[in-house]
Amino acid sequence: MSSATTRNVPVPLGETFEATLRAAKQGADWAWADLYRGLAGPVTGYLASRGAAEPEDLASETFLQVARNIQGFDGDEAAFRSWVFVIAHRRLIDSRRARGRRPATTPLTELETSHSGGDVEDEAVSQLVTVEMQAAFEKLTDIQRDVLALRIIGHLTLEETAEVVGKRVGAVKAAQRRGLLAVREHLELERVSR
Amino acid sequence: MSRPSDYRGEMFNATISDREIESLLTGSPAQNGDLSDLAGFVEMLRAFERLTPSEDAVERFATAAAAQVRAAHAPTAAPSLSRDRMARRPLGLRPQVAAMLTTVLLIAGSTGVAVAADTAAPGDRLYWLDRTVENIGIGDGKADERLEEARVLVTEGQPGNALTHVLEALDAADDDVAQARTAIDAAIEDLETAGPAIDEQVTALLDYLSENIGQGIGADGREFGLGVAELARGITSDDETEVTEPAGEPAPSSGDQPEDDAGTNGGPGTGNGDSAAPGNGNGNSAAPGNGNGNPDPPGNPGNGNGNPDPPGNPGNGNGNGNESGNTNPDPPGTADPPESSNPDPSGNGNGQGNGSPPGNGSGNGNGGGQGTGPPPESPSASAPGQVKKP
Repeated sequence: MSSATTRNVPVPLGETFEATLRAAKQGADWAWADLYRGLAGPVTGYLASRGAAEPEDLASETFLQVARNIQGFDGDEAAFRSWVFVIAHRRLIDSRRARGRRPATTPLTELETSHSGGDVEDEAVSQLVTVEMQAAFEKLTDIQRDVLALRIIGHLTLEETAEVVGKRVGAVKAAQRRGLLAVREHLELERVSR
Repeated sequence: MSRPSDYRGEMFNATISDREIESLLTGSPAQNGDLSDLAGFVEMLRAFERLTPSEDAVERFATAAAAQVRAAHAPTAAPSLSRDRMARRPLGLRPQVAAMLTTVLLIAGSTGVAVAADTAAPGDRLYWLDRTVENIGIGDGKADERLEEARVLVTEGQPGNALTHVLEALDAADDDVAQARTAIDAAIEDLETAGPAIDEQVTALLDYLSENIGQGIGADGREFGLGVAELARGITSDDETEVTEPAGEPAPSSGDQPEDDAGTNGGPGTGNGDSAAPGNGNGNSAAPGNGNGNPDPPGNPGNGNGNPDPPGNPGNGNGNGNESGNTNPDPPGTADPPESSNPDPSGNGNGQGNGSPPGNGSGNGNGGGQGTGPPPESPSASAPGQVKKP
């Protein structure tokens, strides 16, 4: 498939992926531990960023569903990653629906402070700016947030993102552009008013 | 692809090229431009990926997952749960089925009632029983009947309800069709932006479902899901598809921001698929090619835009050739953006795409052809994006 998207995807398992997948299909504990360890962070992060009330639970539900269907999967590590996100996104939608159309989502700000405690990265940006950026993200439309989170946290390509959200590539492209411009605009306004 | 086109934001000098966006999102160093503000934003969001689980949680999950796999694996390999569930199932396959059957028969009192219920339509009092019976596999029409009902809904002018109906039919099978369900969901949500050819597109989706369910999904559950997803994505209007590289035209039409919608889409560029259904793949795999002729600004040569196939997508002819507008028999009532109809009929849209199916089927979407100006029989049919409310 021709892709205009540059690929910068983390492959935690690399060359061992194939063997790991095979072992996972046989039901080896270690294989599932490896698969989970490699992807649970981004998947949980994606779910959290999109307002899942219990991102960790939802992530492990996602992976259990992956386990149920692993026999039908065939592909490389990137394809696996993409497939897991398809299921994660589906789970997210279903969980929202189960709790009513517009659920009480966990604001980004709470999550960030409660999870990344002790992380050095925060020093790079002042807390104030971080909060502003989170607020900017919250102001985006659903599809814009989905797309940006999948691309940035999930490291998915344009094409993979399109599959996950069930839209066309062009729509995804437009959403990410609009989303980024809206964020920039928001941050600009904040800066001016400060 | 990444034509370095500039985009002018409404308020700020928001000039970002596609390439810049790409490198920003993928974390490679930005080539130029002052994206530092956005780089910080991306960094903030990326921090979420570090929500890694504890080793304890990893162990717990691994044990559960591995046990589940072994359990499912143990009796000589039923291929996968959901495939199994979607496949036609003869009478008395599983113990639960037998138990449910007994219950239903007890409730129904006699098989005669069950047989009568099989022909019940939605709204009928026997419909619930019809569905219960189907759900355990007796009617054998679990999916087929649902699809027939969906067809009726399409003819009644309720494509949205038809899609919801399909979604229900797919609900039972989870994983393999997760993607299909998401795409149908998205199509339902975006229904108001769908092009005027929506009925045909929903029908194409139903055709695909009928055909493939008829053959039994078992062997290709995942491909089936992908095929459905692709069709469902085609239902949504393409208005967002072409705005990403506006080529000097400010204010692209949008899908999600109301302020800059209608009438900004250059000329009509009606890529005129010559087949009956617009850009419909005419391969035997029934995977469609959705044509999508780019509405290009006047003077620009037509810009055929074939979407790349999703990996593993069976015979998915996937060209884009404007499914809206031209072939639609009755657009005047549906699409009426008064100000936006084609300021310049010389826009020469020329969409072509062809799928390159890896395996079976040869869906060959061919939305080629060129429209010049609005199609005579449907003057107000318009490029996608002009259909929606401002």
